[in-house]
Amino acid sequence: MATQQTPGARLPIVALLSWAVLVFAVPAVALTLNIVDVLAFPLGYFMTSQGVLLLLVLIGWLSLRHARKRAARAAADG
Amino acid sequence: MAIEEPAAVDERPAQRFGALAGAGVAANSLPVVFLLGVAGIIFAWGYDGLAFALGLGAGSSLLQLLVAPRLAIAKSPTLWGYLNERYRCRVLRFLAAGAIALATTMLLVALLMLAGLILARLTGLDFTIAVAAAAAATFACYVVLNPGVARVMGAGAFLLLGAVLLLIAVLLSAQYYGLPLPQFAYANALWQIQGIEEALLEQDLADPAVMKPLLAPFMTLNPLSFAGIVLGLATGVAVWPAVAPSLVRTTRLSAQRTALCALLIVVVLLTLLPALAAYGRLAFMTLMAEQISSSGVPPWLTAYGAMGMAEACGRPALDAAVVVAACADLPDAPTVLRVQDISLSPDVLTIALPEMAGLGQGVSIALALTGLAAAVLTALAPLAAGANAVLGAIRGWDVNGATPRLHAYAVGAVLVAIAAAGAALRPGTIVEVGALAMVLGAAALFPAVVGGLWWRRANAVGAVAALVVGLGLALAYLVGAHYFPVAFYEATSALSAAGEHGYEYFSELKEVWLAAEDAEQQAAWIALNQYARDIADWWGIAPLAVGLIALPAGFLALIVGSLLTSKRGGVTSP
Repeated sequence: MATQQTPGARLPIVALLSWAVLVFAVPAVALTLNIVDVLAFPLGYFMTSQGVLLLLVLIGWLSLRHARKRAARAAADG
Repeated sequence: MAIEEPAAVDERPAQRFGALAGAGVAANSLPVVFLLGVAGIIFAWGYDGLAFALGLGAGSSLLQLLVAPRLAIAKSPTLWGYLNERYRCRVLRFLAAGAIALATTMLLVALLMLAGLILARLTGLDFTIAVAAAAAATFACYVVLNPGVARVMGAGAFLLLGAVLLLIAVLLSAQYYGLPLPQFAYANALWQIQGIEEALLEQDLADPAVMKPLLAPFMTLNPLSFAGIVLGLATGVAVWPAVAPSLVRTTRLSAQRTALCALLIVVVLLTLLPALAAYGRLAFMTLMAEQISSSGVPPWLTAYGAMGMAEACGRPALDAAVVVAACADLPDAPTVLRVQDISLSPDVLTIALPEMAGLGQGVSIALALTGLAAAVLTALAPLAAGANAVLGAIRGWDVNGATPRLHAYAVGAVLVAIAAAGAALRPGTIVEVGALAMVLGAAALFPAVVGGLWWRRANAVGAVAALVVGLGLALAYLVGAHYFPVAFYEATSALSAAGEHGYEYFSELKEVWLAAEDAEQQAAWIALNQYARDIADWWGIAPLAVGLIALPAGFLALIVGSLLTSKRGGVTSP
């Protein structure tokens, strides 16, 4: 199989930190967030049940886009 | 760092089939037991049940960010093969195979419990016979279907089940609020439920002790245990052995894209589950608010009562006459049924939802049939992962399709038989058993896999230490606190969240037990054992949250073991 040098995956530190904050910190402060309503949901409940999950998809998409750009840059550099 | 990777010469096929491959990954990273069980846990635990949905979604995200990019370029098609290839250690080969077999068999237990319940509801069979039939069907599929076909069929059944759940949520949203967008519409249900529950409390038709509000956090779990369940499930999903075959031997970008597609599918389904829980709770609380008498229990309740999954006034709700007799025997015999008089197992909430909400027989049967098919077909991937790991360890092969099928069938038959025996015993709720499988898998494998993928100095000694310490601590905590609570508490009382008052009361109970004789001694022991089980914990961490203890310990063992035994520069790349 043909092989080429492509940039190895780097540990996505920013993405992982964002992951940790969303997954652990947001549910911990849900009671406080519940003071605010969003789309008729108390914010704390909304974030734990849907908001955090949607933001994780966003982080995943941004991470993939970043990896694609690095791969394209590496290919252009030869 | 530049590493050799198969060239991404033509990414178009991968893009075209990304969604399909993503469905395959999603079917294994969101096991059907959770898809059909988490709504029941949210129904029963309130807000705190969201820890399961959040943990599973976070696990799919962690898979995409942390595991898929590096696992993609592994040469072996299995997780066990990857560990073997990365560390090249005979001891680790056996330990990893044992851990994978343990975790996947536990998930099989949960899947067979689910399939047995559905089959018992559909056919009226006894639960044990239904579990045996489901196990036989699973093994037959394992023998008949080749792994590729099984993966596609599992993904198809999983998507079909997801579509039926979506249909139910859409129908209920339209029926209750005229808005066929369940993820938004159920906000109305949350407020409506709160209003009904407050009215029931005012009328003394509900006991505050059994009410777990959907909107108020930490009424069932403490914040530490909530975080621990999320952590255990997330790390368990990220290194789940049945997921790896869909991600390895591809390119880094392709694996990340597949994992992102899987995450998207998982998130769409997970955001449905709180809506299903809310609609179930609304149907149940509306029934209670109608102030029905004990002779007026609905047929769906007695149908599940006959299966041992619903109780009224402390006894299985076999039929209206039994319910009337049970309620009449209560010291405070109620004239109308109260919330605390009815108990529905979380295992059956989702399956019972169409009947509870009056959606009709057709929807109920469609849900049951797709649930049954998905449970059986998605059981094949963990079964294959467990069997391949055991075979590989015994024969020393890197299992890649060249394994004699007869050997795989024999190991598969043993694993299915063990799982069927476990399922017939009903060791807990389906979600708890499934979560335990994930948590044990994480405790054993996560440090070794992630260390192998991302830390060049991680070596076999460190990996073995991480596996032994992680899995050993998790098992000691789970088994000790549950089966030997008195000894466990006495040995580790300083770590218990019960504090001095708890210790004093425990000591009093122990003195009573030591002073008692004959029949009284037995009763005193039961009281002591029960109390010890309540307080036998470390820092108040719930059993399912044991990842909070096992994972840091596993990583510490990996780092110490690797640093003490590796030479600087003498490293192996992932």
